[in-house]
Amino acid sequence: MQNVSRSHQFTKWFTITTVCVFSLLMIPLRSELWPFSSYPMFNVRFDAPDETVYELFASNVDGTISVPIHDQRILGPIKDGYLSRYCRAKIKSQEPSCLQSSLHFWARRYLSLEARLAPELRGFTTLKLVETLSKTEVASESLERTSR
Amino acid sequence: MKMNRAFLSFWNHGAEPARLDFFRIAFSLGCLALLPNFVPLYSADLPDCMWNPPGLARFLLPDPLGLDTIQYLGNGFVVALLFLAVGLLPRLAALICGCLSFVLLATSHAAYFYNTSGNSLVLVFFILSAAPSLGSTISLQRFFKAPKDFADSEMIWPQRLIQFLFFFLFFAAGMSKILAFNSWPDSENIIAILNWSRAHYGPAHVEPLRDGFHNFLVTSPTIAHLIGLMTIAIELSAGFFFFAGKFRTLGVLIILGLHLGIMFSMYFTYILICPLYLIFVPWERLTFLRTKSQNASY
Repeated sequence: MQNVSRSHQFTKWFTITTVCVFSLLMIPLRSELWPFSSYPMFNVRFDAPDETVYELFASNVDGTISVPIHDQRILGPIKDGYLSRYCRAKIKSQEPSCLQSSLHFWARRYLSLEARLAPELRGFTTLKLVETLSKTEVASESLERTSR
Repeated sequence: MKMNRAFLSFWNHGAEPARLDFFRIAFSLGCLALLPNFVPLYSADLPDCMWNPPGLARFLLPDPLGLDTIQYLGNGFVVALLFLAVGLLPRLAALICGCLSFVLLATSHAAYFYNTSGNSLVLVFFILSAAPSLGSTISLQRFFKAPKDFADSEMIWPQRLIQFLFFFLFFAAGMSKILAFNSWPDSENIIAILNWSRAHYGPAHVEPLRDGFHNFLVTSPTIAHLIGLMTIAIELSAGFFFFAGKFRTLGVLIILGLHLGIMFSMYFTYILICPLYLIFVPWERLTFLRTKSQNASY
């Protein structure tokens, strides 16, 4: 058997110890220490009642046509399905103004992607964030196109 | 003393040394194929208040990245993956891949509710970079530089550690459901998860199999409850299978069954876990790739 150098031995045990210890620690801590994780995959209850639901809509000038936006390219890093949780978290943490900034970000993405969107999603003038059960408009952002 | 020997033997024996390089190639090509799922560009130019990178990335990436930066990093990642695949400076390439995947994956999940299934990929790159023997069996580097003679254990421990990551992922997922103390496997919850995922991920695809399964479970709550219990049981058994020697392959197949079940019956795929399966594929046994081998129990 070949000899294994000291530095190789150190690298080996350091790597094994770091990966195993940090990974195992995540379980009781139920915490995220990217890239170590407790992998909480869908471990929450999905049938919790009375939760507010938020949705992003694109609408025309007089508001007569409104289309819900589920296109991930517009929503960006907020996965479709997590929009409500995101909005609830922002409202709970007293950061409602962040929803307006988020809407501004989505509006920018909408405008830059508009030509590649499905025809029924094109040509709108406003993006709105709406609480769907009470139909309350939380924030809105106009889609201003710069003409060339 | 006996325990000490068993511990050392566990990390140094019982796997095929040559497989590390086959895995290196397959893994990097697998990551290249999955690159569209990394989607860091979705987070380009985020407003500060939306920026919430996960874990350690919070300290290393205090500000959102711009579109250009992400594109440069993405291109660098592709080049490093190709270097790793062909075996040119493989350890350095793996280290660069580790750092870049850390940034790119963290960026793509940087707004609150991120997908944890890609975490292990980052760690695999770092483990590969720590393996001194990487590229000693198959690599372009061998044409330029005579390979050193490494002890088998030097090629075995990285494989064992990657196997650990694979089994740990499922075990931790099972434990997180137990420790949530929320009666996760209740039929109402299982059906609610399906309802939720169909509402958000279903409409984009024509999915008769998934829709059929969903409709069946809605009318059969007992089966839904059993499926919930079985999911937790299989996930927890991953902890046992890691240490189970010859039964390890059986464990991988059972977990693969669970994963395929989720892929084909639910509306999400956990596709970023898939490259980890490659460590269990006996590449070195394929006739045209045969190398010197030892008795291994995987």
